[in-house]
Amino acid sequence: MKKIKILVVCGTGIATSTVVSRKLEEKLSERGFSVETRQCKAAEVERNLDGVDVIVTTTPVPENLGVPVVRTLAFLTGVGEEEAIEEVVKKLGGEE
Amino acid sequence: MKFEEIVKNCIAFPKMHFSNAEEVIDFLSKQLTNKGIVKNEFSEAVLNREKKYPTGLQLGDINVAIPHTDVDHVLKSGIAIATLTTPVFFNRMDDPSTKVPVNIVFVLAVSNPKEYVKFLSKLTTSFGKDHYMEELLKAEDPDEIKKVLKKILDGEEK
Repeated sequence: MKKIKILVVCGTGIATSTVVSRKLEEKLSERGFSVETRQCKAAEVERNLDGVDVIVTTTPVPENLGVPVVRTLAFLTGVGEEEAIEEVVKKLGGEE
Repeated sequence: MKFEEIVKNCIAFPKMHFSNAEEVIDFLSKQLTNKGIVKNEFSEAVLNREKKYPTGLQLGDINVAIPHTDVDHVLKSGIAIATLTTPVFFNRMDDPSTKVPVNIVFVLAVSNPKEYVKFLSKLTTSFGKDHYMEELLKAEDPDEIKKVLKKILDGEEK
């Protein structure tokens, strides 16, 4: 199975992106995806795009990165988590 | 589990009044400095970071903010919590050009993100559960706030 690379972005690349990464790994592996996450600061998105399939961010990132972006707080607060996972899966091109 | 250390380094201020976000952040940050949890420059670092990457979270009736900064400015993991009698406006994390009236502020002292993540995950997931936030707002003294925090950490929710 192809490993999915997700770039997880927040302001400092420390606190919130770590929470979001763990949650994504958990939720996507439940759906049969093999996931690899990388974290970075919002200011460093452009130099971290290598091999990235989708960006999940809690804060705005530049437009036209050439990679699908899901901006959501759902993986932080748990509110709307299922819908957000659906959106990530959709942007990845469907179920495995 | 490192929850104990973070709870031990939790300082709480119920029913506070501030006129703006900067005041709350500065007050809570300086309390953390006084306790030896963060370095002297922590407050300035958090305020600068908040300007660029705000941390207000729009949830519903009760909204929160989680100001924090790089590990360089932190000595030990901890947290400072203030509940506010009158909300102050923070810019939104997911939409910085928009403001959100915040009722509870959690200043995070993160010394090691890997150790902090389970704590933070429990905490942020509780934001979406109104009953926990209502209990925090009702708390009259610091120990009551800590009791709610413990309840959140012991909860089943991931």
